[in-house]
Amino acid sequence: MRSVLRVMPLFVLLLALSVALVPAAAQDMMSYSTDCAAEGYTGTFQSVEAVDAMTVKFTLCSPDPAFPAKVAFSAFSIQPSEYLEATGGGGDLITSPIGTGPYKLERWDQGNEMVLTRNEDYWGTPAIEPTVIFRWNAEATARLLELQSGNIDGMDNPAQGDFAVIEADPNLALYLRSGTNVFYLGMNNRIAPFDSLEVRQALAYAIDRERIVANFYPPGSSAATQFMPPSIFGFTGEVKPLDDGMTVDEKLAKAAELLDAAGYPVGDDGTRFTVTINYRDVVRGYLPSPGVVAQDIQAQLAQLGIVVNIEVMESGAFLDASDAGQLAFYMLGWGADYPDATNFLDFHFGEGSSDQFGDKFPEITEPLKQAASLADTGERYQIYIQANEAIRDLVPMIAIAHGGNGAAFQARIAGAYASDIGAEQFALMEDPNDDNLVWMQNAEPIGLYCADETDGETLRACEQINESLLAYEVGTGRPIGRLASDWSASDDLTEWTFTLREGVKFHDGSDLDANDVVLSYVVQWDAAHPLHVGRDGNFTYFSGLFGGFMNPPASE
Amino acid sequence: MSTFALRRIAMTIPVLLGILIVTFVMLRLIPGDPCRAVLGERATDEVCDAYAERYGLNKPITEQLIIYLGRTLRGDLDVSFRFSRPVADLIVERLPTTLELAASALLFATLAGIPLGIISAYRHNSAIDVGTMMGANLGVSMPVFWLGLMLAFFFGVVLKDTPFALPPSGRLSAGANYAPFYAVWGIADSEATASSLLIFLSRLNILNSLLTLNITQLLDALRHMILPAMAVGTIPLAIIARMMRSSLLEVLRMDYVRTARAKGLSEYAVVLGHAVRNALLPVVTVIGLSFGALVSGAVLTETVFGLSGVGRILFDGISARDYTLVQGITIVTAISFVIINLIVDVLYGYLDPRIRLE
Amino acid sequence: MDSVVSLELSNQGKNQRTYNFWLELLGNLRRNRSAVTGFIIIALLVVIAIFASVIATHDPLLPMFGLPGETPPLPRKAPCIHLLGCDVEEAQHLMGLDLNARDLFSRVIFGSRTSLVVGVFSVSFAITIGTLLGLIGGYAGGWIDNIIMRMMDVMLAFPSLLLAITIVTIRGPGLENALLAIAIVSIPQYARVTRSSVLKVKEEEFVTAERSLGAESWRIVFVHILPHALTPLIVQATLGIGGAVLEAAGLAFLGLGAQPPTPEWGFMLSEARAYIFTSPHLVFFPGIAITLTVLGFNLLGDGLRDALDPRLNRD
Repeated sequence: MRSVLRVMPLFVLLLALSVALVPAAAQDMMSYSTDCAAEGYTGTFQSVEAVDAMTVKFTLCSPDPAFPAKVAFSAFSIQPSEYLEATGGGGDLITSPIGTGPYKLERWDQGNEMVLTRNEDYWGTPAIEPTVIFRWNAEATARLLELQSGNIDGMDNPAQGDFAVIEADPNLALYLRSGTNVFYLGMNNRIAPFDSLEVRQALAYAIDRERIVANFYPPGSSAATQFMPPSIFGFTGEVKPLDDGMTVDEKLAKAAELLDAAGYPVGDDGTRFTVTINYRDVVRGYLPSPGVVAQDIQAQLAQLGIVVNIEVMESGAFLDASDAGQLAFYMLGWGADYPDATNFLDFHFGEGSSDQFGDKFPEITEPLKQAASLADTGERYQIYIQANEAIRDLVPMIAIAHGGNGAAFQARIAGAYASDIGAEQFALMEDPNDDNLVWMQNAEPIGLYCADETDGETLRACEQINESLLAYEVGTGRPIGRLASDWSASDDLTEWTFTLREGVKFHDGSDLDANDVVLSYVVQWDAAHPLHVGRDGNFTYFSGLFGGFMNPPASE
Repeated sequence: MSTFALRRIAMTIPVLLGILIVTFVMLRLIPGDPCRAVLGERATDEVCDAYAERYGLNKPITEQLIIYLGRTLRGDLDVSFRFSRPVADLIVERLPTTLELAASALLFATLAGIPLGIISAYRHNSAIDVGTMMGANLGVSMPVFWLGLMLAFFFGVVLKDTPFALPPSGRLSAGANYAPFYAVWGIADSEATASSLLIFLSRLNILNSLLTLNITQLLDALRHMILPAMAVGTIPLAIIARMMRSSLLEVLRMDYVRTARAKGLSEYAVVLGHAVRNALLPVVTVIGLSFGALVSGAVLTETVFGLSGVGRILFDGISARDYTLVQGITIVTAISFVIINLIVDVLYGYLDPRIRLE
Repeated sequence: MDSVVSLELSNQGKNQRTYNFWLELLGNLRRNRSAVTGFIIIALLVVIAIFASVIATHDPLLPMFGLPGETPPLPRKAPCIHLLGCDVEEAQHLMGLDLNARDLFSRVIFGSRTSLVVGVFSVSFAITIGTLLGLIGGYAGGWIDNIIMRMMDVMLAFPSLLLAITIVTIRGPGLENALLAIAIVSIPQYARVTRSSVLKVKEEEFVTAERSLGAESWRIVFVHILPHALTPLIVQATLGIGGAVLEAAGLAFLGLGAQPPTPEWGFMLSEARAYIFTSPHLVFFPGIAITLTVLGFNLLGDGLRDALDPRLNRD
């Protein structure tokens, strides 16, 4: 079902021609659109058009208050349209990218290291260090050894036990990231005993979150009082947790009372019931030591007479099973893609969410739906209070922690910092000893065309080379201008217009214009586009954040 | 001799075929879906269906097996699910690291293990024997990752700023870029124009530095290789020393050794000339078998020392359900293993003519 | 010639020989210092494993949070021994606390059970099957040998850890599956070692003589050939038990071994590997336990080898 209308209307051309100030006016202005109601189309993009050489307009099928936050994401960085065409949308695009960023790729010795050199023609403040070298090692202890031996200047994610070592070392400096994530205990309300609200509430009282965070999380982490992380819009401090202000003994007593009421008294063998807790042995920012935490939850619930069997599952199988609603009780978490409530609440508790918690509650889905269509931040906030209260009272899951982590640098590195979302800009750092900055992270970037990448290690490398229309302000996470100097939205939040920054040049010397922006988006959006190639062709973030592709491949 | 070798080579063909099939079947027995393992947990069903279609994962399993066998026999290792690059390219890129590591470790283990075994057997029950065997016992009972971390800590941090300092990880210093030998020799200008074999050889850093007479690279590569080679080599070293000792002890009590002694041959000639040669037989088997242990050790050691060999991507490949990558690497390591054991068997024939005559 | 009488005579002689053999073996073992040391270590280990619940000072599964005398932070707390000057107000923990604030000493004690089971069972399983295959292949020769050895080659050609990982990944993580994987993976070693001894012995004069006298094949194999294959097999097996314990640690390192909260040394070691410099006791004690166990088996194996060697007795 072809629903695309590829139009280059004459009036756009004329309009562009009439703007005498724009040098690239002679060029054709690109424009792509689709029919929102087209069969099989689930996306939120209606059209992307180059209004003139320096203006791009996005039209959405439905209002999206988080649109700027999504546009700032590094998967939506702008590529030169000529290079996209020359590479066929893949190939060299992945191994030798051309961007507008403060660094350009000098050499990528795959498996060993990646060397970036300063972009001398950068539109903003140029990078301080002439060279940045990316290296990687999966073992935190090994990374710290490299830092201590002086071979590298900075490292990502020290092991929990090493935070104190780094702080005590006068040669090293530690920078913390607060958690923009949440670790939760999921419960499926279709499976006994979690079909009982009392049981779910009892567990919410029973789990000692402070004990878990204080003992098993690195500095910078906090015990969760609700699903939303405190630094992200949608966190409502007014909503206190059920066990607010209670001592551990009071909480256990309350939990025991609820369990008795739910029909699960202590039996002759001293136990109430047996459940299996599932998790995957994968370290994430929200859960730095899964095995240890699982064992502590097991020990905590044993106090109440609940026998917990631990069952580790393979990561993929685990996620499939939880999504399909097959797991009764499991440990999982979520890290922010973009800093907005919709990325957390709608994804887990909204109408379109998976069956991971069993049946959905209208008390939660209704306010979420309402909030997603509002433009006014104040009004949205009021509704998120309702949603968070409903989540607290109905307990589809127990939010436990917001996991922090950090990065460590040689103390001499000026301007070193750790970004909450892991997007450090090395252009801002200075090593007084030599002309390079050597950074060691957990893993090697997979490919440098980040439209088709998902992992943080890869995105960090892309962010030095390529830039998006907007960026997240360091510290607040608020969207600010990057390649777009200015932007505005229509009142109903469906039309977003971006004005590009003047004088931006790509690493190959070409100028940034609106067509580069349009094509960068369209090759991701249109699954039938000849340049919709990428590394594996999945463009996961585009479909995840904007609902789906134009011309989706027919699934059998 | 040549017929023996030929027959031996012919026998490896069913082995290789068996390996191909076993690898294929085992990977498919692992629960979990490659799509979500590769594309991340947030991939939609729609995306995953397209993925299965593209990689032929929705075909019947027998058809997949036939396609796979056909491809592999033609020498086509397919494209890695996770890296979206030809598996052959990845192997050319990463196998040199593992080979260099395994060869250095085996060299270290053999050169140290055989003399230690000989001395212990010859000075049976002496202090040197007890000491060596205690050391060997400790050597085999030490987890590779623990030993690796301790070595890295000692040489990288404790000895920092001394002449004995060694880098705790990596293959070369950060930012170091040495000319490959094919560019120096003028065979090819760049990686783009060089053949896979040339790239493969040039990525063996020690070999490349020798071919280009680049002392800086040689030293840099050696400094980075010492610690991992010691970490991986310790267990084979201990095994070889023990095997050499027990085997030589046995041989030394054989009649012909007594005869040799009775004939008035010097101790040196008796032990090194007669006994050691015969005692080497089981040791050669063990050295051949150690190759597998080396690759296993490499999985853990490459992690600790941040080396970009096949060991690490192999393990990641299994957890990521990267069928093509695991199949490709397994077949290549299996072929190397078969070749090494072929050499061992031929050596066997050389050391013990009775086997050859059979 | 009265065949019945001669048969009885020979049986009597054999029993006599067997008896003397065991007596001599015991005598030899007693004189061998390393065998005695190894034996003591293993005996101690077995006693610890049997009486673990008596020896352990705490419940190995109980976190110490909120208990009297426990000053936070608890996880990874260093050992506190009153005799060595630790504050008497503090609760005593001989080896400190683990990541989950459980008593490490009690866990190490209980861990002996798991490790003994893994080591002994996986090796017995592997050695039984491996030896049988090696004997059959080596003695029969020809196509039987070919098939068996090619099967072994296929298994050997996979790096053992990789094969074990795949087996555990298929069957799901857990102690039984790890045990099985380790056993399967080590079969070819025993098969090959046995076979190479068989090949060596098979052509010896006494075997040829026995065969020309019309002895049955199984008798030749088990009575004449197997004892000669024992020496290298025992060396291989003693190392094998240690190897199995280590391999279990390797699997645990990759998250595929014993499941929590079971106390298992390899798992304890790898769980704590990130704290190798900050809380060395977490890695030190389980590490020592593994090393001692492996050492015990190796020393005993060394002694057994010496004691079993028939030629040694003549010296």
